[in-house]
Amino acid sequence: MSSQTIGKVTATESRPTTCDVVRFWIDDDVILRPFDIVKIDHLHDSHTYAIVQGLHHMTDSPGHLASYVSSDFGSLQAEPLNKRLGTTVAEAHILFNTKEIEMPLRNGARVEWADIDGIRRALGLDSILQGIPGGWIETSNGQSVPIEFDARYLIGPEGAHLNIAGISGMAAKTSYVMFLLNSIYQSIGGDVSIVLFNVKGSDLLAIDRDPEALTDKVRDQWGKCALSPTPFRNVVYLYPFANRPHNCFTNSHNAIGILREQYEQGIASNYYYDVSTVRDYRILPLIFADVEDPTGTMESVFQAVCESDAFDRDSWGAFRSEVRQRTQAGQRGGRDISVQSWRKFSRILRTRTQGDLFTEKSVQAERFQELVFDSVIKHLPERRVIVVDIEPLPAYLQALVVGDVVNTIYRAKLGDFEEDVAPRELGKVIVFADELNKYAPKGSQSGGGRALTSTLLEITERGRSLGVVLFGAEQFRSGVHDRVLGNCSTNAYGRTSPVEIQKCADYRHFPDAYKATVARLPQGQLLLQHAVFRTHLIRTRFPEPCYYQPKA
Amino acid sequence: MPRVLQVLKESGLDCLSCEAFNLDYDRFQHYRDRDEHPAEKPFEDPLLEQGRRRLDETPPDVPTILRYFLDGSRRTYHVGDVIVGRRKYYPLVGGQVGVAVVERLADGHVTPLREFCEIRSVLAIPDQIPDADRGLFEERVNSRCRGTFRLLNYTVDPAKDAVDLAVARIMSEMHDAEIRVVKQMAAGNLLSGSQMLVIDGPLRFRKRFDIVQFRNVIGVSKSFRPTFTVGRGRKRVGVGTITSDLDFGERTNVFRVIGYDKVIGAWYLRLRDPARMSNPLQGVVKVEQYAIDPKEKENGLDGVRVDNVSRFLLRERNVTPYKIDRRWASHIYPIYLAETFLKTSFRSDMYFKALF
Repeated sequence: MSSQTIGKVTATESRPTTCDVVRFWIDDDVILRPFDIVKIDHLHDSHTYAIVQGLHHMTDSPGHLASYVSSDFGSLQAEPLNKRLGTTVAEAHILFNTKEIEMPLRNGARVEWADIDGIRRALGLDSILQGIPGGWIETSNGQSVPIEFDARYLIGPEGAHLNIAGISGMAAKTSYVMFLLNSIYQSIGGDVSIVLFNVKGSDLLAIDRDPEALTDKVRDQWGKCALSPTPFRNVVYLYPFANRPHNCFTNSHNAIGILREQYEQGIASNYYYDVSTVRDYRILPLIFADVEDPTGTMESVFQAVCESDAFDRDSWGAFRSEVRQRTQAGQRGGRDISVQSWRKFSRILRTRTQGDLFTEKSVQAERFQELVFDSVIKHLPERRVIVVDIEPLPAYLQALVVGDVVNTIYRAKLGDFEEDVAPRELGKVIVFADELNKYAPKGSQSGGGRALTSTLLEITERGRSLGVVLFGAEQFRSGVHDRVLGNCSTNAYGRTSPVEIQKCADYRHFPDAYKATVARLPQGQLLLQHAVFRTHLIRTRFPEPCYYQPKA
Repeated sequence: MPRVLQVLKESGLDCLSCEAFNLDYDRFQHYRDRDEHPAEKPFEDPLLEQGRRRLDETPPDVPTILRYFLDGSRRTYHVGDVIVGRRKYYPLVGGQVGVAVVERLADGHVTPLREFCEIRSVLAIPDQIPDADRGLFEERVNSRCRGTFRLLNYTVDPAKDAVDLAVARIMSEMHDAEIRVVKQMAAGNLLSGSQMLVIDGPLRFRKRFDIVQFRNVIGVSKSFRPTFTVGRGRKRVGVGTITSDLDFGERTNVFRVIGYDKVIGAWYLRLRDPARMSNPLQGVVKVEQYAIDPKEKENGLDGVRVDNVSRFLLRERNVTPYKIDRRWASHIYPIYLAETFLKTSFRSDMYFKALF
């Protein structure tokens, strides 16, 4: 018998093998765990591959009392002479047969470790035309198997969008997305632009700089994925404008030294919002995205503001003054919109646009001012990585910036800005939005109620064919809009809480062992689901980031 | 493939099929020691003064001398009937007989010794059928049917139930197999004073064989006939009375019993605390050993050796097939495993009956 043999198939009257499931007992000395892939002898000299979904150890003891009695009726000192008859039985999900035989496996069939080629074939990785390294599998017998995504299903056109969920602080979500974006850039960088939103500290504000130390371990990890451990190249940074000359006219929390270097290198600019940008019916509602508007009166106000020439002002002061006039009793033009609605609009507008971000274009070049639209349209054709820092902004302004960027990309792809950039020049655009639950919360309306949710739904439902791809991350999948999640052809599951596993429908079909695994995943590991994989989930490891990350 | 009865019929045996059914119900669960004669005096050297002795189990760090465990098992089925000489009507009884030996490894795990495990299918036919014909039938069945059968003849006795006689013949085949295995193990020098074999049940084989090869063999019975009496005259007392008084770890004197043509020493040992038992005889085993040397046959078994074996047997109480087997309190776990191994190796009832 082969030294690789680890067990034999067991098919019983109550637990038969089926086309989908096989159970096998394993040798006492074998260490196996969920997600391991095994190879099993089958009919006509074929082999079937299966992924372990659960393990249980059983003995012939019919109950705990028998165990108690077998220790001299509960004596802790008793040392039984005999070992009770017991074995560990693994339950595995069938992946693939080398001769496409779908008959259930036979009792007593030999089970052995699958080799690397076998595992790749079993998972469907051998049929991938354009692979994007996505990490590696570490098997219980010490093999490392590189995993790839199929570019056609990760970033279109066959399938697109990725969602990753998991609790914070486990070096999973952002680290994995950054690894994957790097992997995409290294694999097919010439065809892809990337837009990232920095939402935490200055995590993503120096991704073109080398890490402080690149250890052999990290090099080896990247080597396992056939990638080079290099930081991102061709990066530009967009910071929110603030009237702070000593901080390069931004309120970003990036280190001042790094900021200065970036401005000197010409790879940073400060975005701002002028009146004409905001006076767009796609942008203005974004500022009010979290404001309840059950009667839709605010929508009427948005329409009036965006369409009436009276609001076409060059300065924010004049614009606010025009709005304020509508709040006076007895004003003309207020037949459809009550004064109360104008007052509400005015109050919120005044509060939310009083920051430095809402300003006019200055002639001073050292302010590095640039409209979001201009930055995006300029950098996308150059296949750049655009990092937009929204961390200093309050949540409602973060939604504004994210919505503005996404809208701009989407409309550019639709050809709305053909005079500025032709859609074919843009290539594929990947947008990474962390804290997706803020922008596309579960249960929110796709209509006018939440403008940003509508945009994200548009992208996940129609962006695939246009080449606009959303990589979203959030702590809890249960908090994200079902249609956004449903359109993702790739999903990653980081460590999460048992409460979330119970609460979120997406975890309910996980086998129990997978649920236990996802609740205790260590750092640097994820469960992955991808359209091309022959199994629902695989457990993957990925390399540590290799760009500069400031210490917290 | 044709069925066995069809082949027998085509070979000239006038046999009739019937709805095959299993015969292994309680009628053969009588005490296998039911034919014992009363033992008038203890058979042990030196005698126990009180007629019993309290023993401590051997410490856990002492390797046990009970290393091998043998169990024989059989399944029998009434598979058809045969008409002999157009007058007599006899049952055909099919069966599976098997013997399994398991070895306990140093780590406490038990593993079967496959070279000493055998299972065979048999068919018992009345001895009214000539041996020459029996040979012919066996050859034809084995060449045309699925599986290999050994055809046995049972001796017809008008005073006894023919089915019982057929089953007894199959049992005899099982005992032959058990003896054969012990001989092979002894010939292979596997058995010694520190590597003994435990056989499930009493040492009553009703066969002629050389008992020297059984020197390092004991039989352990989970049940015994409580009405068996020991002592003489007014001191005669039933074993049930003696054993019900035994405390945990106590054994009785050895008693002399005759098994066919052999002298056997038998004693009773309580493996479990009587306070935990549901009846007074639960948790008591009967242990047997052949008296082999002339001195043993004359004076009885060596008391020191009996104590030693008993001490090791006491350690066998854990683990136990509690709730799996109603005889759990007296069951030796490796024997239980040998029995499980055998029974799970037999062809299923449905499969076996379908062969006919």
